[in-house]
Amino acid sequence: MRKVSIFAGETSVFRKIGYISNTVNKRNKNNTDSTVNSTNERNKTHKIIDTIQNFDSNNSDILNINIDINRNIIQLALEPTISLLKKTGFPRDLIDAVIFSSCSTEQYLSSIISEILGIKPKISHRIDNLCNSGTNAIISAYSYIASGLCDSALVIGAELCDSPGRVLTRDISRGQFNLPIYWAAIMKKMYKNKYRIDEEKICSIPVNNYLKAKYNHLAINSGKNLSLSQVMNSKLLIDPLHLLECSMICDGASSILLTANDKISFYTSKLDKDELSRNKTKSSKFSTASNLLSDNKEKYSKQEFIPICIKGIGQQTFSASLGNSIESIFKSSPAKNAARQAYEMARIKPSHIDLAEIHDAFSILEIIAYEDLGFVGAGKGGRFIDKKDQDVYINPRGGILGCGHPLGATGIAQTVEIFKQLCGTIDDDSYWNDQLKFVTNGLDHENNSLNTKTNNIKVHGRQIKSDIQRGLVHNLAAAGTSASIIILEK
Amino acid sequence: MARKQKKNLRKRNSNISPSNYETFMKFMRKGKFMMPYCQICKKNIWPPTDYCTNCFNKLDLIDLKQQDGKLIEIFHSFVGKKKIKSNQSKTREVDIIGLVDFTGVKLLGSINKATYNYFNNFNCQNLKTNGLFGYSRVRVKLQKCGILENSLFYKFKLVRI
Repeated sequence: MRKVSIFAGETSVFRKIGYISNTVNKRNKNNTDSTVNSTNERNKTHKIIDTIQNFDSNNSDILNINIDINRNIIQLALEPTISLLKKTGFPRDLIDAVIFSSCSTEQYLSSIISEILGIKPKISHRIDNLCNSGTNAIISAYSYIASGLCDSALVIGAELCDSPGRVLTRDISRGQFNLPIYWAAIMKKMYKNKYRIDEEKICSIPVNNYLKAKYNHLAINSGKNLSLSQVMNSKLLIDPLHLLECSMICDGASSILLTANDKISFYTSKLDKDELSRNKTKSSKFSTASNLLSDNKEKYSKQEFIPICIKGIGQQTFSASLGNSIESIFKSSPAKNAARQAYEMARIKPSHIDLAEIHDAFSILEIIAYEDLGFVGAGKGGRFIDKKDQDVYINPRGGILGCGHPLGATGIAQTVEIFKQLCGTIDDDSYWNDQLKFVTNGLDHENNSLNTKTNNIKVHGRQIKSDIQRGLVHNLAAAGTSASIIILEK
Repeated sequence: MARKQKKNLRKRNSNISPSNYETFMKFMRKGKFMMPYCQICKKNIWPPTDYCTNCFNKLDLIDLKQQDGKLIEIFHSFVGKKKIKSNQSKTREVDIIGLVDFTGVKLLGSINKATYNYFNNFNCQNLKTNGLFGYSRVRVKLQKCGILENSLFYKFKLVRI
């Protein structure tokens, strides 16, 4: 089987609309036509935004909503993809597959986007598997390359906040309580009853994630502070689940380019040098695995490429209905099975993982994930919260709680984060150099991050300084009934 | 000729029996919960389909009102519909939600307040058995079900502790 590497990845800025609740809007249904936006529609949306903000008046600053009503899914998907193709200069005629990940109802999106991008792929299709669509799309792309069916694959994930994927309507066992907050509350209550974990421990999960997302300009909670008391005093949605323990559905997109390992030298020799030089005038650094940072045009092709390989993959689905797998969530969950498969494939142990992106759509899911991934034993997830960064860096981008949850793009954004952290290019975006937006005065950033002084102002980078070799992506769907794990290695 | 073809088509369509899912929804509209049951495996099968997931035998639909279920978990929800109090102030309805196991089929539904108050007089933790979770001694029955505003609803009542 051929080795598969990640060539480049990009993520757009996530924009939020509201929390996972039934108050989330019914926005303009005709997303393909951005011009059709009646005043009525706008008023309706603003009314919904008001409802969300008034829902918990104590936390109105966190619930502050910034929405561009004219955005449509194609526009959204093109944002990171064009950026990726421009920055890397990867020749479009060498892209063999385009896979689109989304839960939207729009038809034939992968082919539409391929057409717009000027790509004529051999394979073009779309993947829809609710919250783990993104990792499923990456795994499909991996399979095509590993089997030799194609040499390179572009995976694009995009989602609008009013995606129908928010609610699994076919799961009729949930009755009228079909929103994700209900199963999250069940899990939290069951976990609390079984392992007697303190409420403070669970509520510290969003605090940690917000702290990391604060320095991530792509996150919806970028630049925001959250205290433990704010989480604990936020509105109790369903006993024992608080409002600020829930992630937010948002608009977002991410794209990633996978290539066969044996073809990397061929691709680097074919990169569009003109495109690269054009972009170099706009931004000084690029986020690609090849670290093509040299100003010398001729030199870059000789530079050493550090391939970030996909070493392990695990996937498991137990059921579609929550009722058919709720009993096994603490015994033998799909995530536990998927993690075991991934570790076996990568021939490593959980202790070899240096950083992980965890699917923490709700705070309790992160604690359960520590146990499922084998970082700690059953029931010890609570103890791991305090010492996790000593053993493994969790959610360097701020997790789903901090960044937001655009369903089809989440898995790809998680993988892009791990990829960039392993490459050491996480802080190399042009944005970082051009706009020092996330300026703080001596705030303690627990992430062992890079601190540079520019004009006497302290700037916090997100790059993990210590030597990191392996990263893990943990992505769940439909109340954890389906799980995907990807292990990346430098 | 065309009329004859139409007649044949109608006749053929009338021979196609509706799927168990359609029948289940049809009964739900009438407020009746028909549980898909496999006569060979002697098991309730979920979600409603035509065939048993174990033996692929054709499933029967039996009335759930005859069965009682085990209460697994109970909790409060504060995200219900808004209701106007006597002093014109708006408050949200507090739902009491229960996860109930009907021999293998777990349903999420509301629990009536009288049942909850009765249940609340007992020390909940003492009722917990079997190590993991589930108030196995607390039995509930499906009191009401149906379709409201395009979504299904289930309402449970206490049978015995």
